[in-house]
Amino acid sequence: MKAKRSKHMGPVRILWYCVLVFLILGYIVVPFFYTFRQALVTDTGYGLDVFLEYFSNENQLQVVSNTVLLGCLSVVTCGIIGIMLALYMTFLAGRWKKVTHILLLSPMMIPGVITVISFIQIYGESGILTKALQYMLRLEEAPFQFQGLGGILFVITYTQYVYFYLNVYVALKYVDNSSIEAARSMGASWPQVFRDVIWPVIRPAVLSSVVVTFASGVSSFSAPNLMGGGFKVLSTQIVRSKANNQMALASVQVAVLFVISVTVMLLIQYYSRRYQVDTADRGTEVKPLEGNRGALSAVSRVVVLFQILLILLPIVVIIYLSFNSTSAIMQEIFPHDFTLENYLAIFERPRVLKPLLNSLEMSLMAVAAGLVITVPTSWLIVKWKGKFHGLLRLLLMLPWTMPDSVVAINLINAFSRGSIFSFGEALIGGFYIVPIAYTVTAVPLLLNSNEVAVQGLNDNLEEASKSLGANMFQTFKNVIVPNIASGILAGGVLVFIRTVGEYTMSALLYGVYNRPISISIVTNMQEYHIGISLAYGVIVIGICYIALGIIFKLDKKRFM
Amino acid sequence: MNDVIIQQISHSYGTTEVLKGIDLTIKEGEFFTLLGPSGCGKTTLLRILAGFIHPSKGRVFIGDTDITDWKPEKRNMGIVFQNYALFPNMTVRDNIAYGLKIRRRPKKEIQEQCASYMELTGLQELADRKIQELSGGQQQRVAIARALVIQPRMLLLDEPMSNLDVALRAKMREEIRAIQRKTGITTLFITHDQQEALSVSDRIAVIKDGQVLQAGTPKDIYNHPENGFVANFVGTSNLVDGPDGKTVLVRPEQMRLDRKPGEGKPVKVTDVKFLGVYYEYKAEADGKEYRIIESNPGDREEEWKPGDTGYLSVRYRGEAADESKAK
Repeated sequence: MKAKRSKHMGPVRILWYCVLVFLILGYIVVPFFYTFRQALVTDTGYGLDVFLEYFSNENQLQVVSNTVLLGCLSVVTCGIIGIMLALYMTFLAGRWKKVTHILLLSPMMIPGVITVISFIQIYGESGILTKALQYMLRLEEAPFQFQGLGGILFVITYTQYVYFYLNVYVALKYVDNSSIEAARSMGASWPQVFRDVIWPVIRPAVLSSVVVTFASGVSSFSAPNLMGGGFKVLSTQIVRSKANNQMALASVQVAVLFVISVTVMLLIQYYSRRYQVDTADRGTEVKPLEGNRGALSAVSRVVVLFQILLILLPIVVIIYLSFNSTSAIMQEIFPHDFTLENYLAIFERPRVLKPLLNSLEMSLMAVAAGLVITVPTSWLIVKWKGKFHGLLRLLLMLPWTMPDSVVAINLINAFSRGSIFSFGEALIGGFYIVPIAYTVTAVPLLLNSNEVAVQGLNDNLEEASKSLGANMFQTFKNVIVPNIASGILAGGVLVFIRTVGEYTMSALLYGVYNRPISISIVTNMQEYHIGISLAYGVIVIGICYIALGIIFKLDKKRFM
Repeated sequence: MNDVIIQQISHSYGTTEVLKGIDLTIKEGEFFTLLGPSGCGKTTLLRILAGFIHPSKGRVFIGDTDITDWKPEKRNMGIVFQNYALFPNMTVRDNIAYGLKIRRRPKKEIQEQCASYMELTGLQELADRKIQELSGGQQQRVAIARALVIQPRMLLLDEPMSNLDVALRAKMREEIRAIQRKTGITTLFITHDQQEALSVSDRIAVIKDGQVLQAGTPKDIYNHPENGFVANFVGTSNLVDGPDGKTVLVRPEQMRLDRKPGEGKPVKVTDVKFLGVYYEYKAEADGKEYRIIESNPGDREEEWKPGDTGYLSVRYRGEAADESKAK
């Protein structure tokens, strides 16, 4: 019965629409077209020359097929692990459930680049585990090669299963326990119960996880870049082309990557439209199984323990190693010359501290800018009727369909010269281009989380406040803001976590003034200042975990 | 006089007309109930009184003042929402004090007023609790106190019982009625539950499809339903052939089942239910079914059993409604 408001469009609203249109055109739509135009530039004008050349080159095609393969395999491995963990947590986990849940979510909260370097310290050619095994087994060479497709897939599986896990875990809460009991009482076995009762409910969550996981698989950069070896994928080739100043080639690669991820996204979206489940009426929540849990339980328990070990090991190792000198790390299997020199180096030398401060500053700028843009916008979209709101939302969500490297290349193509959207400044090479890129990718995430927060606010609260005599401003201040703040801030903190250690866009966009910490972590590693690199990593992990604690405090409902 | 006058109110959502020319007068100090099935437009009418909706046609007056174009925050109406709409970021006390704080009343007055309304609603012990820590009944009390503390012109109750369990419902409606009597505030109550409407109201308007079918005291509505819809929505009734050949509506408790043939019509008993306070019978004749209610007289020699033959007569016909008016 509740009609959205639509009566008059005040000047403030009109002004806000103008600002949004300016930002959307300038930072999302126009840069995107610049990239396509760049890809069509030939010696004599415009044409498909670069595309044709690209697709006739066998090496390039290999890269494309590698990328698709990586995306598909990521979906398979992450799906298996994520769904198994979600089922375990719902039906079998008993004690320690809460702690286990938080631990299982935590890989999402550590920047990928840090995960990769700590993996390298464990499983790499001179990693702790590799060396230890080699020593114990008295082998001439390392017992395994932690690189190429296998290594990349291992890292991706371990970090990206979280989407499957969280989505399916939440969806499982909507499985009606009575339906399970009904099916059991009619003689269905557990596999049949899964097929007929559980699967239909979690299918949409699985499909949306497929999209996200595939997208993060095809656009992953840290792992292929740092341990890919001969296995080349589009995201790494894009960065290489840009470094070689082959912007036309980079733009073609970007276009191909974009088309791959959007095609899969649309396919799955089309497919999943057929499987809408109505979760409106919620029955009794599923309960952990009682009594004899059998072999399945034992096996899954081992898998979960192993998974938690995998999650904890890199964190423990990176913290441990960060208190050792670089020379000890490089010379000994188990270095133990405990020292604070790495941390002292960071905090005593401004030049070494700078990247950390840069990253904090740029992330906070992105969070602030993102909130300023999305809070009023999500309010407008949810609570007011507007003819253009559908289109507006679609355009603001567009960066969500773009891999990070696509966003960065778009911005390079648009802002390497002055533009009216940057008031004539060339932004590339300057400080602000990195926080701008972070903001572009943060907007879809924030828009989503704000909308959830605003939707959760019952219209009656606003009406109650008005009926008690409060005007719009008083209502906004006393009732609306306090009740949506925690959801909005939780989204902001999540964006902060995702940008503070961001690597892909940073690698394409940073300059001398704004070198972010992720870049310093990699360069220090490559220049054999391993200790400093690891100490940086530990500091970022610390910051992320504090932020994670804040999220859990702010927004318990969504994650638990 | 501060009667609330609803004059020719019509309202449409898009092309659907949900209210069709409603005319009602709610007298000052009266407990007035809008009774009707869901979707009949009763909540829309309440929202028009509150000022959340501007009616497509018609005016709303309080006494001589036309308030149709007033903003909700200027109307001084106390509202208890179906879901209570308590501010989850505030304590019980802060929720109740909110309206007075907005009005910039002195601190001392706010304190005193809050204390007195918390006492009225039995919330003294809970003043510093958070809303999430309250039971449904307690939340409702907070919502009532919050609405009353601003000393509104009128109290609007939008199906306030629908989130409570059956036992609590009966208790809360007694409480609400007692509070209303004590404060003497003009009250508009919305419900789809006829028992609730009959037990608390001074007057009732039965609404269907955006129209008032009948307005009157609970007794009027029950004993003299003006048409079949009212008769069947408020209680149940039997269709009986009247003396002049017309069909009339008769309440089950106004019918009588006898073992001896008198003026009664022979019927076959098909169902017997014992419900403690009364018996409920079903009987059949000429393909028509009748319901009869008889109060429990205590132990007796012969109980009715399905299959028995009885004689059905109307105990009290009153001015039973003409079925030709029924919808």
